[in-house]
Amino acid sequence: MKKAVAVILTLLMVFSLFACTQTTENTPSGSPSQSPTPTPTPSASQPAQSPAGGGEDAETPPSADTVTDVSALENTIGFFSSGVEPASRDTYEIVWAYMRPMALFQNITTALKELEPQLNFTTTEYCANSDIDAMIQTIEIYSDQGVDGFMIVVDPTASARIKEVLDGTGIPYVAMLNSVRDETGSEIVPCVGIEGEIAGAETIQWLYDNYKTYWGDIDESEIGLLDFNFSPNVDFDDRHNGSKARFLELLPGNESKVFSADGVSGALDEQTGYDLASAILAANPDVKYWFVAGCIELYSQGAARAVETLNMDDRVLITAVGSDVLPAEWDGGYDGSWVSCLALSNYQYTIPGICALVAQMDGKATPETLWQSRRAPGDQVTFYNVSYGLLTRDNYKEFFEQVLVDSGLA
Amino acid sequence: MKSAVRRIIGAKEFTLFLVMAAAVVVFTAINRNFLSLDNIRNIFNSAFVVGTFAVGMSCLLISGELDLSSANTGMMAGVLISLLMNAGVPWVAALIIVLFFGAVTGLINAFFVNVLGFTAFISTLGVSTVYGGLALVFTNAQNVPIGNPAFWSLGSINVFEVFPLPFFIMIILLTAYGIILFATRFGRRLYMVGGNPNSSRLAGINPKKITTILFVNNGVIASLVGSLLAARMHMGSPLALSGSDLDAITAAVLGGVCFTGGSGNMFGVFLGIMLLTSFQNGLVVVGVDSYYRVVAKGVLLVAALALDFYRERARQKQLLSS
Repeated sequence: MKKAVAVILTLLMVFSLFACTQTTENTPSGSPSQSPTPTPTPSASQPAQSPAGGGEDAETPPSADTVTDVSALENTIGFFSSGVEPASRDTYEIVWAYMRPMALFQNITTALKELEPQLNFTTTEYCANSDIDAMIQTIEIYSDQGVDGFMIVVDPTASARIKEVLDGTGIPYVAMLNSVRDETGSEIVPCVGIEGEIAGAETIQWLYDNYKTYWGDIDESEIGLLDFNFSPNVDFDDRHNGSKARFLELLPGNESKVFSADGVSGALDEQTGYDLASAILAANPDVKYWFVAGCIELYSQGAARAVETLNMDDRVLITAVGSDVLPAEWDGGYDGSWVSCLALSNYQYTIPGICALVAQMDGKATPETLWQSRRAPGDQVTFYNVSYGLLTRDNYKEFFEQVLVDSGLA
Repeated sequence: MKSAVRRIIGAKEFTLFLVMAAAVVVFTAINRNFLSLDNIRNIFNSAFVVGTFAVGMSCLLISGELDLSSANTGMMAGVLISLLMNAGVPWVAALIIVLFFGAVTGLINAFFVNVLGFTAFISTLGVSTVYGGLALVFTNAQNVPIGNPAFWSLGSINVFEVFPLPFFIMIILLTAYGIILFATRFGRRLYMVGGNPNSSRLAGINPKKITTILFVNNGVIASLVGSLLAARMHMGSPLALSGSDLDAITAAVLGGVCFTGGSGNMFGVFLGIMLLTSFQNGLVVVGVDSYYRVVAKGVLLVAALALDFYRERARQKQLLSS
């Protein structure tokens, strides 16, 4: 019996491998098992470029003069119209790598797939399942396989090492979401994301500006803050700090009513949000009204369920950074205490990221020349702060429709 | 009377009870809202996931087996029930299908362990990983919202105004399984299988049959947990319940279930669950820094095990001397 199962499993494995190989051959440049030279598209008459990217001008050193200023059309595909017609060059192979499965990353994958025909590239998706060592090794493997570029979420816990490995490959890359800074705080990797502190502050500002709609004229000194955090992640920590700082700026006398809930003792899931929120809300009945700020949506979702369990819907207003969960709840008819979220469309992340990467692979931009007009003082390269909106039940559909229109994908 | 008191004091669970009582006193002294009705309900709500997992897991541990696929079976059940309900399946039917899925998962685990002779640790971990990946494939890493308020109520209504329904279900399961372990032939066989599988085989017991039943039982319970959590959260999440099975093992061992099999009871498991949950809740309520909360959780486990070790050693010495 054992032998039979062993044989079946072995055959299954062989067939799986064979099937994967077949898929790779059918889709010219979608997999790391391809040869280092990207397969030409029908219109590609140019010689194959080097693994480090390059296209038709690969051998020409990039210069700052060739880079178009992107500030005017930041959400529009093709704002890096660097003179290279996508269809005239070989299809680029890019790797989209991230640390753990999250809805936003899947949505970015979807957006990349939509953009593939327009910018002439193929995407290989890779999730490291929270294994930093696997992430680093996989970068090296893909590099050896001759991919042309990396779009990567650089995990803050190993950012220096990941940058070192990426630099070692000589392949263009763009970071997504998490900024990478040196010891002086200067940005050292071109990155598309949001400034965590500003985002956190904006969510609280919105609650402050709108709480009277829900609670009427109440005594402001009775408002407390439950501020979620996941401190090992610098970006989430920044959001937490931004929320807290803005709350104290707006309500300086309420310092004793500020409660931080760090999910590090649990997980990045809604159950942790539920447990922390329910304990803190129940343990502090002297706080009459609550602002709840989630550095990630799952914590806010857990908090929303805790508020329902505690029957505190009329005393709590919840917000979050991110817009992958709440809009789905609104679609399902939700109308509770989770009233707003800071919206980040996957297209708003993906389009600047992929355009910047393509510009580098085209040889028309370098990390230093990308988005120069948007660079913050002191940064060596630019952190591209994507635009966002504060969503409510009333405006969320309009927002996502507008993003598609702006992107040219509607 | 004296001997009864001595027996109570000498019981394994008494140590746990003392530790829990001490924790409650300290937490209440620091923040009296720790014992507020709302917070007690919070503790009950938090306890149900780990607690219900611990019921099935404890039976397996007592029989000398282990199932590391419980959390992802539960997660998968939550995702499946959400998908089924969104496809128009009534929630009762969806729940039955999902419980059946749990039973099938248990059978798969039992097949690997009992028929192919794989180690439970590895094979159940493999099944867990497969489910983790499948859930991502099915959902594209997105949560699957559930728009059925009747189903939501399974996760949120309170029985007798105090006990959340999931916690109430956990208590019923603990009681039922406690009786099965304590007062039935199956229960006694289970202890024998865990204590010494070879002897039990020679005594005419079929250990494989027993463990197959327990794996199926554990799969069904895990699916129930996943479904109730989905009801509470109004959605199925492909990232839910991660690590809950390890917490369940912690609670079981804390409650006196022997990791190598053969001993333990549901009352001890209940105390383990309540100690773990109320301790975690209490640390939040009294405002302990999150990093220290992680440390404290580990210290609690080590301390409880150490206390139990010394108590057991003292008991054995007393037995030898008498």
